[in-house]
Amino acid sequence: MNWIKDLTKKLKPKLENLFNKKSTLPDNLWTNCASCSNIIYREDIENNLYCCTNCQEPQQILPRKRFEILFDEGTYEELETPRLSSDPLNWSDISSYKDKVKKARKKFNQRHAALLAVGSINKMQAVVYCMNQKFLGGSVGIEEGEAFVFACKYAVEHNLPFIAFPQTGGQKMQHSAFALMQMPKSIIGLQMLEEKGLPAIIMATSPVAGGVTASWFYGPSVFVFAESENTKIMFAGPGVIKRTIGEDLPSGFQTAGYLLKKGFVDRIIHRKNHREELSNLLSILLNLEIKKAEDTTDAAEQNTVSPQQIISA
Amino acid sequence: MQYLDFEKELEQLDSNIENLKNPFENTGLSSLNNEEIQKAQSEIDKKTSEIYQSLDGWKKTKVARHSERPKSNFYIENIFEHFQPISGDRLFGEDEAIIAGFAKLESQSVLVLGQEKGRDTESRLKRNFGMMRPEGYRKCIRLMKLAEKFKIPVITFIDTPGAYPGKGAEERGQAEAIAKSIDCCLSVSQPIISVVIGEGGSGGAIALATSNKVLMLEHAIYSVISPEGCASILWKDASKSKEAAESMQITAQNLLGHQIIDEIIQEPLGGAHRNPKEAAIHIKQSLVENLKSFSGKSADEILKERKDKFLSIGTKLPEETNIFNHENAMYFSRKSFIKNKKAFIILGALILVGTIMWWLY
Ligand SMILES: [Zn+2]
Repeated sequence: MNWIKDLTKKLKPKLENLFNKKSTLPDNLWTNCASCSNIIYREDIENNLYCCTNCQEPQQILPRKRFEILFDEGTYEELETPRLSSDPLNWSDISSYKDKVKKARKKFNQRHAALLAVGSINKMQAVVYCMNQKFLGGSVGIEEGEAFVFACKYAVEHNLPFIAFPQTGGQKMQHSAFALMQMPKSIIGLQMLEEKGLPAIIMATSPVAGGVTASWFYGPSVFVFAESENTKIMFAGPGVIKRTIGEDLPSGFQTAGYLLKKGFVDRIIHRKNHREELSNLLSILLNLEIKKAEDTTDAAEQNTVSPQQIISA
Repeated sequence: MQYLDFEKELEQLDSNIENLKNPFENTGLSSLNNEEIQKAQSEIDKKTSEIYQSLDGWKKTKVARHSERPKSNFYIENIFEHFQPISGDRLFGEDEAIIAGFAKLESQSVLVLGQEKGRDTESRLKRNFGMMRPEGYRKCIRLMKLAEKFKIPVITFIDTPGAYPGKGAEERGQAEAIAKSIDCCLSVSQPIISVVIGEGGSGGAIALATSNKVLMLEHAIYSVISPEGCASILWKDASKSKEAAESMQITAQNLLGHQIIDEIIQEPLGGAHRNPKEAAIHIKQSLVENLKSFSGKSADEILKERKDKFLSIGTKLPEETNIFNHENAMYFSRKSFIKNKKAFIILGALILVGTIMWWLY
């Protein structure tokens, strides 16, 4: 089967260029599992919550896909985040940063690397901050940082729990010190939730690195989960370590499974169990009745009060 | 004195003045030509001031990392009295990359936390070149909590290439330690004042610089990644460090302009390493004044001011700084290029068809 993959891989960009067409990534027939490197039929994994049909490894997905499979009936409200500067230093290296931002915005139909949504997970309403690593590395700059604080404030105002799905290379170098300052800023956001007694859950999705790991990922009172044992979680990446001190890292290092053993991850929760386990934990923490995934329709009939009211009560 | 690559002229002038000051060895004269020495000295001062007034980001990086630049240890000895060093995180070990202890600043009790790079090979190894491990941050957290208990303000000296990247540091939770240190800084209801004395390297620096007042020495730098690191990632060429240093706007002057830091402390002529004692006096004056500005402020005010400051950084910039006109211009030029490209293809095809027809018939 390999030759088919190779052929489509080679031909696709050429054909696209020929017809001057935008990338149609989600419509590819085949995809390659990053974990077991099996070639899998895209339609099959779509029906499997975007997990490999062979090894069950969750594949990287875009925020809106994440929202669709996380929230009840795939419905949610996307929140618009504050519009701030996307290029404060007028950055240019081998190419102009403005162009890159513009392209990424167009390609993903999102303003910056993070998307924000509010919706119900098994009737448990939550604010969800989700990152897209394909959007310029998912790096955190002024807007991603502001969106994080905005999400925390929104959760506090509406008395809702907060869930974040980081997926990032760390702080945005093109924003320099402005990016660095997002570290304390995001922790201030989490402190607001802490003061209000609202839970904050971080669900790591591969990879998480740099300043994000060293700020909100391990922020005050957060629960740190990962969707796979193989999820990459690190502060300094293997390249940085090699470059700085010449040390090679053993294989399997800086994975969620390894960090679980070292005491730096609370638990691995597979994507298939996100809805049930996250809503259960939130219900327990907020002292609410636990709703089973199956009887969402029943629950709707039994309960005359909306989840929003239950939480605010 | 170690001269930097842009100080060649100063090196020459310095050696000239040494000759003038040492006439017995060189010319056999028996008395000093004071007038000549004075003239030479004022020439050196003029040249030094010229060079140091126009340092770019990369030159400042070199000054900030100068091996003879005074380090935390020197400032602690020369600014505070009765320093009481305290060690250990009570969990794993003692990190000598950070000097910690309680002391008096004039009559005020303070907690001092100083990142120390070391000043010779031996001390640099002992201090791990100022790269803190998780234990170091945990020691600081322990002591900041004590400072909170005893109602003592905190002063931190920032001078690090970054937090230590390595297997041990990673598996003992470097990221967790930094996050908790930032969280702790934001929870202390006493004033925290940070002075970036050399290199403010990324997460390793912000962990102890989440402060009410961030002061920077005139030639210090502060950035999210080293210019070398940035160059090798974004330019894919480590030799582009100068460009990276410029683009990242890492100087005290840049950062004051961006309202990321609060104050610049003037350095002696030609940098702190040319007159460490004077640099210490300047820092001391600024620390005393800044601490005074907090007298009478409540714990809530101190906490709120610090949080508000960090929340507002970067939010006052206009949306899409400098973007729109430029972007639109780019957009239209590309669009017209695409249109032209299509026209060229059609024209080419017509010519081709025409040629074939002409050739066939
Ligand atoms: Zn697989």
